[in-house]
Amino acid sequence: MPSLKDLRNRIASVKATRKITKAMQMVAAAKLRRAQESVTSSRPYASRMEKVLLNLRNGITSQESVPLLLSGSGRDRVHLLVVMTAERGLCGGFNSSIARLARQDVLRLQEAGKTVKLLCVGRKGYDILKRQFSDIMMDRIDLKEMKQLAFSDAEDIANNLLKKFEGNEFDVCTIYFSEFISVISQKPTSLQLIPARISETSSPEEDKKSPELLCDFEPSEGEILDFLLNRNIATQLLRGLLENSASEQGARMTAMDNATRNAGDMIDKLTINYNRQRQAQITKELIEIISGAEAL
Amino acid sequence: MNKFTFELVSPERVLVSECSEHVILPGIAGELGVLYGHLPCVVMLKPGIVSMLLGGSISGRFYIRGGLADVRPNDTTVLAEYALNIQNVSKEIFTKELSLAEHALAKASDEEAYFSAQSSLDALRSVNL
Repeated sequence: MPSLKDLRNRIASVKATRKITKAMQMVAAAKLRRAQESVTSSRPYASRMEKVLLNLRNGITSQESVPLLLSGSGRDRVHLLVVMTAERGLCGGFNSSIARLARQDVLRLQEAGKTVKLLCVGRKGYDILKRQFSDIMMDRIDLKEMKQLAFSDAEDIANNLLKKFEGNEFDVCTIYFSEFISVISQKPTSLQLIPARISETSSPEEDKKSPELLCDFEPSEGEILDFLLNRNIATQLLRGLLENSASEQGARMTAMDNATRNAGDMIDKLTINYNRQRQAQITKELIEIISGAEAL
Repeated sequence: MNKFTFELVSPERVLVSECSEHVILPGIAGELGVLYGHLPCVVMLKPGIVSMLLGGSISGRFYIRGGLADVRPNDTTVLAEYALNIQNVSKEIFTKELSLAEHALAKASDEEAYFSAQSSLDALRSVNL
């Protein structure tokens, strides 16, 4: 049975923890708002780009002129998985759920006889995956310096990937990130980057509305397609990074909210315990005094 | 004059989405004026100034670091790699951009990089803040 002093210390320490988790929750809420804004404001660029890409791809006639980024290297042997996670923990199951999805895919691909390589963006994913897959870990990219995510950050990663692709280091590239659905729900998602998957189903009604116009290209169609496919990788990476940062803050907010509530419950329980013991002690002292007085 | 929708989008946000009568774009092979009913085309853009005109006067000017324009008869979209609204940019950011372009020009190793750095420098110098 802990003494009264122990209980008092315990309550004080849980109270301090509650203050910290409460503060973290509020910081996450503030950051979440900003992150959410950047996710929504980055969507138009990606959707417009996809529209142009779709138009261009439908316009391609001869198979030979299809760029490698769209058609792939023709092989399906080496897979590169880019796992994007956060730099920091204490955000519930955010990091581990992305890592779990990636791990499942690594094992599935390895079973199918493919060579798998891993590239981690963010420290946490690296920490989780290196235990099991240290032999196939290629590289890791730190996000620590990137306070405010900008397009240039995504571009750096994209250039890194393109260099590896041109060096024939992999055939298929897939990214893993957490899609931000709402504050309480984030979905770990994988997205194939190379060869590019341009959604086939992008609003058929709209296509019907405006029958395909003949288009002029300046410079040539191929050059524009090349440019766009390169851009597309950076854009998708940026999307992943932004979705991730919003998801991270959302997950942290929920986790910290739970932690705050749990701390409150714990304080209540400890306080009841403390009061009970205090009363017991008072009763004991009274009994001692009374029985002492009676003995006289 | 007939109006059309003009949109300028950078990866981070939508800068403009409004009606315009005349838009001048820095095409890679020369300047390009877009009016209502323009022939549909997809044009690569070099670093330069995008101007919007409404009623004969300039209603918006933007510096872009290259990109792509999707021109259609009644709507035009510019996907810019990086865009600055010249009318409300701070001097500090503008000077930073200028020194970035100067730096790129000094470092340019191939013709393409040189061309792109030179055009951004020309465009930035033509702006009077």
